[in-house]
Amino acid sequence: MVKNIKIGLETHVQLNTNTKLFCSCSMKNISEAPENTRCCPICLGMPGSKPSLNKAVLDLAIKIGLALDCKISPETFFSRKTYLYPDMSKNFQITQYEIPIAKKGKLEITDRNGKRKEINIERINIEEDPAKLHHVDGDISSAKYTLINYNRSGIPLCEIVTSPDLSTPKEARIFLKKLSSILEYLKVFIPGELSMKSDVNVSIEGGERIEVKNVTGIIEVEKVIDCEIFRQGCLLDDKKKIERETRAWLPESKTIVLLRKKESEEDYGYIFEPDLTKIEVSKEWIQKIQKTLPELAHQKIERYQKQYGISQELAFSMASDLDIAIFYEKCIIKQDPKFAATWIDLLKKTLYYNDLSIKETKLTTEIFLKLLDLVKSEKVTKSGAEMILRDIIHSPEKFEDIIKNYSIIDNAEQIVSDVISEESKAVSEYISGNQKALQFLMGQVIKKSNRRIDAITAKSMLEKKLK
Amino acid sequence: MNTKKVLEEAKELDKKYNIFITINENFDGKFPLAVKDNICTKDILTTAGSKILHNYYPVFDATAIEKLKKRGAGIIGKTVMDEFGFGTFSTNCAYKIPKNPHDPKRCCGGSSGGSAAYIAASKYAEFAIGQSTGGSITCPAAFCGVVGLTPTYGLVSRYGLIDYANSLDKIGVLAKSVEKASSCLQMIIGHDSKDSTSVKKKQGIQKKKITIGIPKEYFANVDKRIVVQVMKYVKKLEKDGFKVKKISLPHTKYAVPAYYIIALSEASTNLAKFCGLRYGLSYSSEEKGFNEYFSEVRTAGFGEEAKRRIILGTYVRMAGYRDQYYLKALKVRTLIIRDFKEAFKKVDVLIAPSMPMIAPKFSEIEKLTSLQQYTSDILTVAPNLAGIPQLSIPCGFVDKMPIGMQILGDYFREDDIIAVGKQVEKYG
Repeated sequence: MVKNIKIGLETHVQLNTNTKLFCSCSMKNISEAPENTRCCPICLGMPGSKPSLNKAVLDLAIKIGLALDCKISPETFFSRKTYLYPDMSKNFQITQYEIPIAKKGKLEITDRNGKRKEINIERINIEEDPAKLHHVDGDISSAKYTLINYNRSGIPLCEIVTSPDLSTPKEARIFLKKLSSILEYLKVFIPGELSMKSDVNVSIEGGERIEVKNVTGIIEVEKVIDCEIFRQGCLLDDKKKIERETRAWLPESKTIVLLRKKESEEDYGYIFEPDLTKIEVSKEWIQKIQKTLPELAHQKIERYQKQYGISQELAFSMASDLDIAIFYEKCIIKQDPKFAATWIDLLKKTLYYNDLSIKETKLTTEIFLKLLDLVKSEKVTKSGAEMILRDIIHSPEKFEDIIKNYSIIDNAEQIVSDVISEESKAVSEYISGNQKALQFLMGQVIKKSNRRIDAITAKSMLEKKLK
Repeated sequence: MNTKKVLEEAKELDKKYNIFITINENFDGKFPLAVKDNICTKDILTTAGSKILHNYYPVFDATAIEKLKKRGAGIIGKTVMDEFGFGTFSTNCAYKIPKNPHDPKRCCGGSSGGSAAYIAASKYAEFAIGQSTGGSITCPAAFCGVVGLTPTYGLVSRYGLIDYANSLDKIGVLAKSVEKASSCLQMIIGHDSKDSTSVKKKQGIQKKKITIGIPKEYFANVDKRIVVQVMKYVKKLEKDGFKVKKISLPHTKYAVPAYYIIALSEASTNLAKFCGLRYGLSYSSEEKGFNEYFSEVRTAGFGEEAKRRIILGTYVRMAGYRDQYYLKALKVRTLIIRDFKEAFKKVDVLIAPSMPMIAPKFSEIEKLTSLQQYTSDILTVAPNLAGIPQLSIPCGFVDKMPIGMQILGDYFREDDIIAVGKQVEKYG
């Protein structure tokens, strides 16, 4: 039995800036740019080139620090972390060591059961991304040769380091999801376009800490931790020692391999980066950034519950995705917040089922509100509206045509009469007191109306006719 | 200007004294400019005196070069230097060793040896570009009998300078006269957005009466004949109305170890980028792991002194040693800065010998250990650690070899040292 699991994450997020960290290379759609077209003497580490700091990165890092309740350092600076590796143009990385831009923060996570837990943020560093290696015909050890794409070299990264406060793979997933949502809210990170990678530290009782480097994706982090706990548990079962080591996640083969053992741990020989000057972060600067902080997901969840009286679950559903939250807040200008939340939750599920995001559908709040009006004025049934949702997320422009197929029809009376005359056996059973027969008749009415008559209407119409 | 004659002279001097790594055959401009080889010149071979960059043609001009070209400078050539600036005598050279025009059996001093020798020997060139980390302008200026001007750290952009130790490196001037040195400096100063440590010069108020400080620590362990000669000049200045005061810079004795620790720590990281991947020396990398390949290139490309400095510089910043060497040296640096700040409360400039000896013979240098070589920097490393402006100016001869005295000024007070320098020049 594995006990006392401790998990800490070091998450590297590429920051959404116009230019790179130390030069003026454009970051616009950089993930799609052809290889080695977004680099200059500075990101290539050409002799004589020097870094000059992109101040916008500091703004973003301070923003993240504030959103994660961190203390912002009044003075900060950069250091050189030296190690020779082909993805590093200078064979040292400019990062932060002694005094990071922000430290000592926290992020509260809530699981589906509403249990809350505070995860401590130890520090937030700014550093440069290395170039990207492309191992041709194999992985790092088997490839015939390796190509280097320097487009990535010098992209600003923010490293967010937690204390080992997470205790299950699921908690790590919840934490990263929340972190990702916050970063998205802050507009400092663009999921899908920029990357988010984690170094995962896992230890169990009776063993030393194991680090798995370079895990991309939130689901992968959860899987890696699961594997590590299992692997370490097996080692203990076999009475083997778990010694400090660094492992690497290989995304190509989805495997974890040993990188190095304790005795060959890297010594980075940090020195202060002499090409950059110290940065003083004034109180005014921090206040200025504070004012630009948007309402965050967890703040929205609380406000939605308090202000609109919706359930925690619905509030969570509305706020966890920024685009949904914007959609919701737009809808409730004209619609009842509880009613709208219920239907947007349904919309979310429908989108999820179709593997679509709210951005990808061209569904506008105007059309969605039209649909809600039809439901409210009982011009379509609830189940009819659900059918409409499934159609309009694909082609919202055909809304008017789609509702024709589902709106309540003028010949409802005729349908009910037809069912009564066609199902005389059930009718007589109902008259003689069998309530189940009414259920059957209701079903027939709904079916014949193509779901344009809902159960309640069908019931009341049948009862009226057969009185 | 007769470009043909300048070019001919350069070739002739190079044959005699080994001044240039590259002579620019396409030389053209209003005046000839020799540039130390660790400063990037677009499309002109720039090796920093190292085999590892034997084929490196920069894609851009250093900011200082850009500025000089705008004023009409034509690059006559790239001058010989100790590999990456690692030396006091310009004898740690990958290509050729420059000879002193005053006596070819003796060294030029380093590491800007080629630039100093060119100014000493040329009829046409009035100033050349050098660079100092721990005394690499003052030393060759003194040994070759020319003026050497090392500006306040940050006054001249380092963009395009191939780094030795970034927190110490300064681009400066070797010149035939103080006036020429000063006018060249004016062309290259100014803030540059591409170098975060560069600054805009604060305008100082010209002092009416300059007080000279004589730091006692700078006269111990110096060739007595040099001390006598320097003091002769100080007496002349005193006679001409300069007030002279004795001063102490108590932390001077720690300057050499602190300097070497800081400089080599930075140098060992700067040299990491030279690995045969994107530029410079390269070999076939087939069937080799990257570590093996990097080692092969670096083993062949770096000279012995570069390797020594990488090893020393790496050692002093490793876990377990970092506190007692690297961080301690930074603290010493603060104390040395404080020494100078205190001194400049009492006096305006300091005067001392530039070097403790005259230019040694190559046969003498061969006998020196690394440590003995490092300690010859005793008079220049402290001002370089502090980053204050330094002017080395010839002040007579010992054994028919020129000697230099250095005038040190407060931060951004280049005007003070230039004023005193011009006075010294009058004494001939």
